[in-house]
Amino acid sequence: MIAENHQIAYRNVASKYYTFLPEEINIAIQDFDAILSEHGYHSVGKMFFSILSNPTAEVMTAELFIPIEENDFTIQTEEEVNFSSYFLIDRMIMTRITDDFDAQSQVTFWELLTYIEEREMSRKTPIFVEFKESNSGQTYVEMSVGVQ
Amino acid sequence: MGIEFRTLQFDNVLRYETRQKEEDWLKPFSKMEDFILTQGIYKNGPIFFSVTSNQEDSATDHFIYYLPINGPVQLLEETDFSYQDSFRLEKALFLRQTDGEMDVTVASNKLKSYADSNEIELGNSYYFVLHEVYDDYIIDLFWPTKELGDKE
Repeated sequence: MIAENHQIAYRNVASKYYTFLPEEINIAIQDFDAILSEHGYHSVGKMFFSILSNPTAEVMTAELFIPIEENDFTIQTEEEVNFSSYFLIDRMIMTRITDDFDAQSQVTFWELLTYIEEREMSRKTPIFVEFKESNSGQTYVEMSVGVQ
Repeated sequence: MGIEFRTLQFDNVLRYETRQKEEDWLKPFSKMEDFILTQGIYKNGPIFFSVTSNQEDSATDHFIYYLPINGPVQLLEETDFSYQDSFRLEKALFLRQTDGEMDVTVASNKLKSYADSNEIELGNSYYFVLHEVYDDYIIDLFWPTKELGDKE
């Protein structure tokens, strides 16, 4: 099921571009997390990313986003980390993947793009992937994209 | 959420400067949103703006609008917009107004009287960030102090 009017909204979000093999995304996340902690910043425990490469490409390019506790952020330019006091993307369509993310993600990716095409919408952002956890501790993934 | 000091910062913003009547403050929003659609970039934060009151001409105020975008963009010379790679307002006095009151002067007066009673001297410009929630607005007001000023 695809839901409309979804939004991604977080305060104090640090972001950085990474290129990696899809199965090694955790290495990229850990690397980014380490950069933030080395500079004295604390993740609030959430994370999401946007997929900038073609979904069938062997090597993936993504922008990783990690919301942090601090509202004042400075880091050397060489680290190439961006920061937003308020991160917001609205008017998105979204669908959830509750199990077997690796196998389901490509299917879901095309589902979103087909939905846009069928309804004569236009796509205005890359595809976003957000890791979430329900109150009972079940993890799931929300895949979304901004539309016009 | 009480009054405190906070930093407001963004990388990559689109900037639009204008002089207008105070009641027209919402007008540039759609103009900016329409513009980025033609530029191959997308908005990734709420539009925010600064207001500087004009002492000589009280009918209009000086406004600068900022729209956070996902990356750098090269603009043609003849546009009203400009690109700024980073925006930073260090340790401004911060107040969140949640009662849906759209008269922005209520928030600014509240912050002004707080500053007066705590002997904090405020600068000439203040910044509003608007969050739309259930067809209503939450207003975050950032007001830099005089000595720190606007270091963007």
